[in-house]
Amino acid sequence: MGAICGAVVLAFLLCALLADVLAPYGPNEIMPASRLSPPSTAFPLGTDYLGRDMLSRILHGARLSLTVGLGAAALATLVALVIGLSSGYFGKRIDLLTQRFVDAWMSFPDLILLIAAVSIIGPGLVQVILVLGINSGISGSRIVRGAVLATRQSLYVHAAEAMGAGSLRILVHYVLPNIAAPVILLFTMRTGSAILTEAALSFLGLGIPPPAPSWGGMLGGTSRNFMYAAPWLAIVPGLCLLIVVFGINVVGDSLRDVLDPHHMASRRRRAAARR
Amino acid sequence: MSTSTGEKPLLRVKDISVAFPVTGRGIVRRRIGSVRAVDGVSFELRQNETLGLVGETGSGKSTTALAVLRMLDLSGGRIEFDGHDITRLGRARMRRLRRGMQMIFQDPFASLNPRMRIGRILEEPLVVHGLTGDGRGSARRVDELLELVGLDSGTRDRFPHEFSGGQRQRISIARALAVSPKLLICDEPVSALDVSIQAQIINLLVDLKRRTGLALLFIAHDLALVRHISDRVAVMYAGRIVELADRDALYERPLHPYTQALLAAVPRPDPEVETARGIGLLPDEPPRSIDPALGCPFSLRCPKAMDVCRCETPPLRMRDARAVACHLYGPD
Repeated sequence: MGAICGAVVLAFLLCALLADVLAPYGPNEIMPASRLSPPSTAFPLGTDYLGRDMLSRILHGARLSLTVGLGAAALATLVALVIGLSSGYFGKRIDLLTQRFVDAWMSFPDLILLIAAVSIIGPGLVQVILVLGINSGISGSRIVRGAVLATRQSLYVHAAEAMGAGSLRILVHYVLPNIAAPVILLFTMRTGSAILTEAALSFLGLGIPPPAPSWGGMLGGTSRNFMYAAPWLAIVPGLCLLIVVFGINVVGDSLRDVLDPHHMASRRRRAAARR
Repeated sequence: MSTSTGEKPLLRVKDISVAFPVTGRGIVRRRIGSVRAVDGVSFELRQNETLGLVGETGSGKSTTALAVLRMLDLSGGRIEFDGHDITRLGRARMRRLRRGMQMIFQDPFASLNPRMRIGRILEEPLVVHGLTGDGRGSARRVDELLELVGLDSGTRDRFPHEFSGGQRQRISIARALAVSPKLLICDEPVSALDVSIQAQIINLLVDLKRRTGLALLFIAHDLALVRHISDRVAVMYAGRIVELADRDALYERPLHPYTQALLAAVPRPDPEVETARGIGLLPDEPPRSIDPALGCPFSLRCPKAMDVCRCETPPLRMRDARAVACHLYGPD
């Protein structure tokens, strides 16, 4: 399962990278003569209301969506790690202050917060990544903090302290590797949700401004008016979102299992047995 | 037995106390009192000497060990290690001094970082204390350590979960010895292991001590084990040392009623003796550590308790080259 989904996600990544080569037309190339044509050999996924090739737009859109997803998730993980590690490891006053701040932040509805933030700093790729990343990083810090609190109480951390290791060393070599599983899950889940949230923002016209081919933007905007007449306008980007987000989440699950030291050891034993 | 009297002790613990706050329920968590887990404990430990620390669960043995390592805050007393007063040493200087004092924990399944390979686990103390030199030096040291504790050098690339409890405890002994400490604190190092493995680990510790001149603070509740490994033995009850004596003196002629009861509770491998004897201990009462108000903490269970025991705490007094805290034995 993990391998199949990994292959699918990889395929989308390749499409995103090679969009310029693979796309039969330019993403914004308008062919008024073939507006709203259904899937055919000339246009495998049909065209939209301006006569732009859907396949080309999906391929270029993959680049945008994955950039937003991975970028925002990386930023979110970084923010969550910084807040969660310091809050969970140093505890006491630092923990109290940061956690009340996180409480306050999480008490705002996400979408309202995002809409407000985007309308202040304006739409655009970098802005969307920043806003999504920071927002989901702050709420994600709870997951990191919880894992750190559990790890901090473990005997091997006490043993490292007794050995004379400093705080930074304990954080990097003892706490961090042992919270890898939830952090990996955090990253992949945030990738999926960032892609979806970007789609929602673009659907509302607050994400990446047209004519850039974002998957969410393709679902929303003017194409909404043509969805009954030309269902491929909604089905194609919607299906892509579904497949990619599902795939990334499954990959995260299996990545966590693979990185478990128990797994590593049994793999090595199997390899040794073969030799 | 112990070394010559003129020698300066490696570790001098004087009248240390550790109190944990007891907070009320609710949001405010007002402090409503404190538990004195360790209450006025004093002892000395010399180079190449083993002090056994025995007592029942909750008597403050492990807390004493953690306090000696400054892993817990003291609420009173003074600790000197290797000529330094470490009672109020700052974090950075304390970290440097930790090189001289290492610890082995009770649970070998939890005390090794599951994400590190054995070679790395053994290198860590060297890296932390800046003893790696060039890379090859530390690799050689890891091999030495593995050999010292009787493990194959091929184990260095494995993870802790691939080892049995006894092997893991060998690894944690090797880790503790990596920086050649002067003091090794063993907190119930074998109570999580099978009996057959226990003997191996104990013999390893005895052997290592003989070879390196290490001082051991050995905590256990198994009296036979402590007798086997210790030069002197301290008996703790409710956070206090009630008796401290040379091993043979303590085991052959225990003075304190609690020590007597503990030794009487050791089963004999003779069914007739075993059925004929009675322990003579009063019903089990929890030690009164929250409110040690007045009186000997053992007086509730003591078969020989007198009136004075219930109103006055007996100090730890010297008697016949040993120390005992009991009203039965007045000053010398």
